[in-house]
Amino acid sequence: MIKFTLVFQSLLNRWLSCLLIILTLACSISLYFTVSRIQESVKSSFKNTVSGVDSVVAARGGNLQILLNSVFLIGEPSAPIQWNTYKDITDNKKIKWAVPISLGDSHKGFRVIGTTNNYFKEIKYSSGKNIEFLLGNSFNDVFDVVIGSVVASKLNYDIGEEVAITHGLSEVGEVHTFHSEDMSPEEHAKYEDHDDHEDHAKHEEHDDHEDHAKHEEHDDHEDHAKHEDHAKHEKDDDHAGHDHENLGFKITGILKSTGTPIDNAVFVSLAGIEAMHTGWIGNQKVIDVSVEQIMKNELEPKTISAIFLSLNNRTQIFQFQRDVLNYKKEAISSVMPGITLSRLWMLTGNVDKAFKIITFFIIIIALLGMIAMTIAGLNSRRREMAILRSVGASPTNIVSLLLVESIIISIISCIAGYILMIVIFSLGKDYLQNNYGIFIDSFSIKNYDLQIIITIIFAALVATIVPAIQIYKNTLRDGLSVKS
Amino acid sequence: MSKNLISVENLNYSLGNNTKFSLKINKFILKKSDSFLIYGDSGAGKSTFLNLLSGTLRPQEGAINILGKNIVDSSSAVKDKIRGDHFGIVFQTFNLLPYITVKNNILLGKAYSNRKQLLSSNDEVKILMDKLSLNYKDLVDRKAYELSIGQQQRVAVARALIGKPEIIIADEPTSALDQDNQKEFINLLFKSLDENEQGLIMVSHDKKLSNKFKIVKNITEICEVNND
Repeated sequence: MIKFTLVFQSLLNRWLSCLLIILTLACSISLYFTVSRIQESVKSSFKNTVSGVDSVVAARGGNLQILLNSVFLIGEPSAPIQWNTYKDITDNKKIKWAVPISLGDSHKGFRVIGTTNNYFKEIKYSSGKNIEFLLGNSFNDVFDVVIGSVVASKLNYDIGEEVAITHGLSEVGEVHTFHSEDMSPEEHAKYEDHDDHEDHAKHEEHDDHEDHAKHEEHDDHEDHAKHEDHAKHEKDDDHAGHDHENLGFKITGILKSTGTPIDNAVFVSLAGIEAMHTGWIGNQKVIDVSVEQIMKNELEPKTISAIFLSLNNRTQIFQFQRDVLNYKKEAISSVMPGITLSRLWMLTGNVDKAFKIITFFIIIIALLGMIAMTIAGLNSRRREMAILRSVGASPTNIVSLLLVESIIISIISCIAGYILMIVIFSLGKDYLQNNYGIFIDSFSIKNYDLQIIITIIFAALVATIVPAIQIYKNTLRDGLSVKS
Repeated sequence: MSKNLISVENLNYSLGNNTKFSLKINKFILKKSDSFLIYGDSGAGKSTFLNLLSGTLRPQEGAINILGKNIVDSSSAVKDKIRGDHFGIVFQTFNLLPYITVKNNILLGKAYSNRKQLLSSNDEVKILMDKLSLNYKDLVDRKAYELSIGQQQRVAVARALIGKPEIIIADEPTSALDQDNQKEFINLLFKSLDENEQGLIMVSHDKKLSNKFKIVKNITEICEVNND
């Protein structure tokens, strides 16, 4: 008992140098923890996001870009493909199911995915888990919106709440607005003035809407009449208390958390996407179309961004890819998520390794600091050692005291490094999630953590060998003569 | 058990090849209840003598019997155990670990010895402190560095005595004390020895504290030091 007290008190007695060593060690360890967690989370969230999707069909382009943008909602959307292409592709007998998605709009920084109800039915995450609704249900209506769990919690949204969709991916883009026909001219003018066209130039990725104007087919959609009350200008305060409700999209469903980019997405029906772009040419709103007029249009999309699909027989994937490449009407390609991801890992694997090696060197530097501190302290502790020798401590006892000290320091450092990592992630979690789609879901000790902890403790012991040999020689030479 | 606590015969010790320091002891015996004062100038071999007795230096020739056992050829582990079990050692100064309490400093005396732990009772710290005129209540939980030098030396004696070792070695324990304190220290040391049959060897550079000791010897009478 007293021997433990001895070690602790001795460490406490040298608290400043110990604290510094613990700090350096803890920082380097937390760096390692953080880097490996991010790496693992990136991999697992990527892996978990694409479950059951055999192929992503999109306009021909870089496989990685297509995958990142369509599945992980990262980066600029790729070029659009024609709706007819979707129809042609789905005619392929090899296909079990196909889900179209349309990207390019956002809501308060969260990306909007235009899709069909099949999305919630067919898309799986984390090797085969179904997307489930926490509240409400999928779209019934053009202006229905389903939101991911992060969107719901971040923006504090509930079922029935009305939201406005912004054109483009930046938060300062123009808001898609709708108004009812019974708006007075003055109000209309005011409304028009408010529209901000200054930053349209930024939204050049939306060349897919060029042909919207010509598609004003006036089929009668009787059932659309009931959508009048959906018309909404936007959330803007200027319009608060307006006679006409600022109607836009209404939340009908909130998804359960999946730990994938799905949580960060806002889902709208393809008809909804079409509706909000009626009256737009490219990135510019040219005609202010009323909800009533929109509803008269046929809201079939003209273009989409990508198609997720699954095959009846996965072994046919290469045949299917060939079919896609041979598609004559448009240049499209089929991306296999698994293969593309493993290519990505191969690319990033070296970076991963480099990172790990760097952090490992940092840990080694911290350990060298510990040796330096121990050796520097040895001379002033020779008196201590002589006293211990006088009461019967053998040189081995004294060396073991030193080793126990290193173990204590390294364990405390590991704990501190772990806590530091939790602090780093608690502060940076939202940033990582919103900007990089990296979900850090749990801080629990993983296998690779244990490995590194054991390695560090072992390395600390090895690092103590040098001062231990030194102290062993000292104690033998000094005997009972107190050197002060 | 032999009446001799320590007996040294025909001992020959010399430092490595490069330095020409050598020390010879023909005969030295410490009996139970003996008290030795060994005085002499510095460099006369006092420290070497004590290091040999306590087994931290190994002589080239001769025998050192501790309680009848010759330790010269014993492994260092055995010697460490013998020292832990049967010796109580007080240094000149800096006897205590400054960062632990008085109590722990005293308990340290038996931390490396099962024998001392068996022989020592739970309230031995208090008994020893009382004997050595250390106020138990005030001092027991104080850190050693908070004590005066005189108090520290008495705590060192308590540490040396805990667990009732047979041999007490004191290496100039009074050199850092003023004259009044020196006398008081020696008195208390003898007072706490009285009840046991302990043997005491004290080394000092002068012999003015010699009146209490049974045997007073110059180091040159015991050791023959060659320093050429």
